[in-house]
Amino acid sequence: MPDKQIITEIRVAPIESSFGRQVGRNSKGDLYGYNQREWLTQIKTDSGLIGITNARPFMNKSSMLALKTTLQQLIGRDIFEIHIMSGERVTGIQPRWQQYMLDNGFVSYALFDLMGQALGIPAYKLLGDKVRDEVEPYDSSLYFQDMVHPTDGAGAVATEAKQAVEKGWTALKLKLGRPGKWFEPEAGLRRDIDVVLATRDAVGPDIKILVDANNGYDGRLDLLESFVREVGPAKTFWMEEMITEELAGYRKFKDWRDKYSPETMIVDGETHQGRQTIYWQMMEEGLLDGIQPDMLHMGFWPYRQLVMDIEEAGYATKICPHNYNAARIGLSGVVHFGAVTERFTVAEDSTLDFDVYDYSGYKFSNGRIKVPDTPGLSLTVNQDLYAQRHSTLETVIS
Amino acid sequence: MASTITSASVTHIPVWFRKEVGKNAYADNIGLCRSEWLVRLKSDSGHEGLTLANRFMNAPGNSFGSLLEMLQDRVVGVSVDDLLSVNGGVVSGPGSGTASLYRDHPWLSNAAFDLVGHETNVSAIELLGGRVRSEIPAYDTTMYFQDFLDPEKGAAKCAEEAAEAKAAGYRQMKIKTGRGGRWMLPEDGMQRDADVVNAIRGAVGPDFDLMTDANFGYDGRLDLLEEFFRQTSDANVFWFEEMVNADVDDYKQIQEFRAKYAPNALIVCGEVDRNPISPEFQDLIDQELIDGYQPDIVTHGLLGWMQIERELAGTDVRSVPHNFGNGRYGSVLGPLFGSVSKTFISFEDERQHDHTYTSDGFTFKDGKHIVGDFTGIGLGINEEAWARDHAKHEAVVSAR
Repeated sequence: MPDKQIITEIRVAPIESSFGRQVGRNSKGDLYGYNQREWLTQIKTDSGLIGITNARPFMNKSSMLALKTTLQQLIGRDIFEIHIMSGERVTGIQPRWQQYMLDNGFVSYALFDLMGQALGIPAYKLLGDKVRDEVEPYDSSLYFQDMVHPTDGAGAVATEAKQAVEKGWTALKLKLGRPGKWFEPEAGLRRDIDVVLATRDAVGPDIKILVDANNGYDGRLDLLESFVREVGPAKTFWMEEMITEELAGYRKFKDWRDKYSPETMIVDGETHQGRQTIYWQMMEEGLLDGIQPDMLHMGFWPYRQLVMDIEEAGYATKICPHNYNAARIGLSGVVHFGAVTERFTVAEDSTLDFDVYDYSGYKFSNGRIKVPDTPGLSLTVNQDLYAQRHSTLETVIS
Repeated sequence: MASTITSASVTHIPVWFRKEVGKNAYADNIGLCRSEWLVRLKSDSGHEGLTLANRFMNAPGNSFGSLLEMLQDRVVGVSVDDLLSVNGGVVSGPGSGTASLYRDHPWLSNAAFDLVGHETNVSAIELLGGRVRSEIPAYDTTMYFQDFLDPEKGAAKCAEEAAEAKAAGYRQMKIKTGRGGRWMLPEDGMQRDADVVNAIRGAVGPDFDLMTDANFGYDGRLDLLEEFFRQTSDANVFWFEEMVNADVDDYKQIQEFRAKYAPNALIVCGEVDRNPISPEFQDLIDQELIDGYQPDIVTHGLLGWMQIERELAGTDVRSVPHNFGNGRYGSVLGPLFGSVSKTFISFEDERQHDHTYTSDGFTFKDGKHIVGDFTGIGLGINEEAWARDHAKHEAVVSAR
């Protein structure tokens, strides 16, 4: 057994970062905003180790008071007592903590960070051996920019897509589903098509284009068929959440995909932890090429268990973790998870920089992020800058 | 011969704040940009009436398509004469057969006042009974949790932005409070709230009205609310808004805090009242527990507010329409209403900028919007900007 590392103190503070531009709507939500933020959570042990995570999944639905109550339960606990270990590998979660970790998956980031540091191994190694040295991120910030800059129409999205490519991304996700709420349905379809085709023209043939309708084609399968047919030449990498999960609609959708855009993956499942029956029915019928539970919400071990269950069932479904709200800390976990997961695809990147973190181990070049091999998550906080800038909004739990 | 509404159109218009606007007590950052869903009703006489469908578009389950369908079914084809009942040049209520339309979509009455005004070549001010003032006090309403955007400066960041508002001519400002409701621990949030109010008072000096709005952030923590009153007693707060949800017992306690620590302050609430005046707010009014009532000006519309004021008559409760989220359109409709309302206190000013509209009848000077002369509601379309930015996105419906 590794030496005990007792959690003595937890610090939480909001850390803002800016897109540098207004990010628009998706098919169901209003304008996303100019800034995004992480609720940086630093968990400290009696030996001075600090593990970090982002409590945004919790704060998106609750309060600082409730977060304090939840995190308070970790004080006085050994970082190794929550997961089941076999040597240096995590093989489960102790029954005492299973519900806690299912409810608060984000805590696993900090625990893996701490366990990795304590054992002197990268966080990914707690899950398995590395199967890749690099992970491909995709820019996930291309919302309905045409509604932010109406003069430019579809070109507003294509312009920002081109800028993302110039900054180094080789994969981009375009938010679609304009027929769902914000446009007259036929006009929304036309704009969705124009956005995809204009973006393909702008970025060239070698860039992965992913599209995500946030279920914006619900009830309009006629329009969805037109969409799949019209954007076939753009050879999209995946189509995500085009409609809400249900078998009859997905069977038709798959038929159209096979007919018009056979190289495109069909992906879904960001809002649940992959345990609902519908996902297993879809996988069973070959209707789901990729599944997308949120990495930070779900946490490392439940995600790993999901992958093992899919493999054991013999399904071909790949892993495409959702990460948008989780920003930089969330991305670091996705990179580690991708490093050990054969069927991992691409990493969702909200593209934000946070100067209070040092994540230089995640070198980004040629459209790929290097998997860091230093202990833990390889993401540290500049404590001087943190104290100077963020401690005024800090909540301390001890 | 009476004219008829022959078409309705809907266009999305982005409107921009002058700065990033942060959180309030319950919602995450507002951002830099908001939306107007502009509805243009055109008659066969060549006139048009404007309103915003933001309430419709923000409602769950509604969509652009269902908005167009509703306008086509219920508005296109209506005679302009039937939009409003006008007696002696003043509107007395909905027109023939339109009461249910305004009951379902009260924001449409704004377009009715605009269109009828243009058709009859009078101002909506006249249709509302005539002006009682031309200079409408306005408060800057963009002081959200700006300290979260620059935590190093903290309360000083808010003070800095307040000084900018004063330099821009404002003499009133509303400060969002209620940090302990969600984003901070309750005690820490109360302390930051008080620090922000006091820092802003220090920055703007004494001749400047400061309102606070907690968006119910003190629910369940009246002990902290009393402490907030106590710590801000020297700041001479002009009004306390939505410190807690509408509850008679809680508001009785707030009255005690006010009497003890801020005897000159007003107690206001009511922006969340979706069907004014609903029973819980009527209770507060009947028991003289609030001084101002705040249903939204665009959402409830001019006709709705005429009715609200009829119901408030005989009470000491004054009109303080909410306006946040109404963009440039609201920056006309709010002062317009302020010019006719006898009990109006101050206009909620988002200070947004946009090139879509013309509003030559409105100017801003020394912290007040000056309401001039115009027909309708005084808002026009900048045709050059429209042709460049919006015409291609306008969806139009006419008679089936």
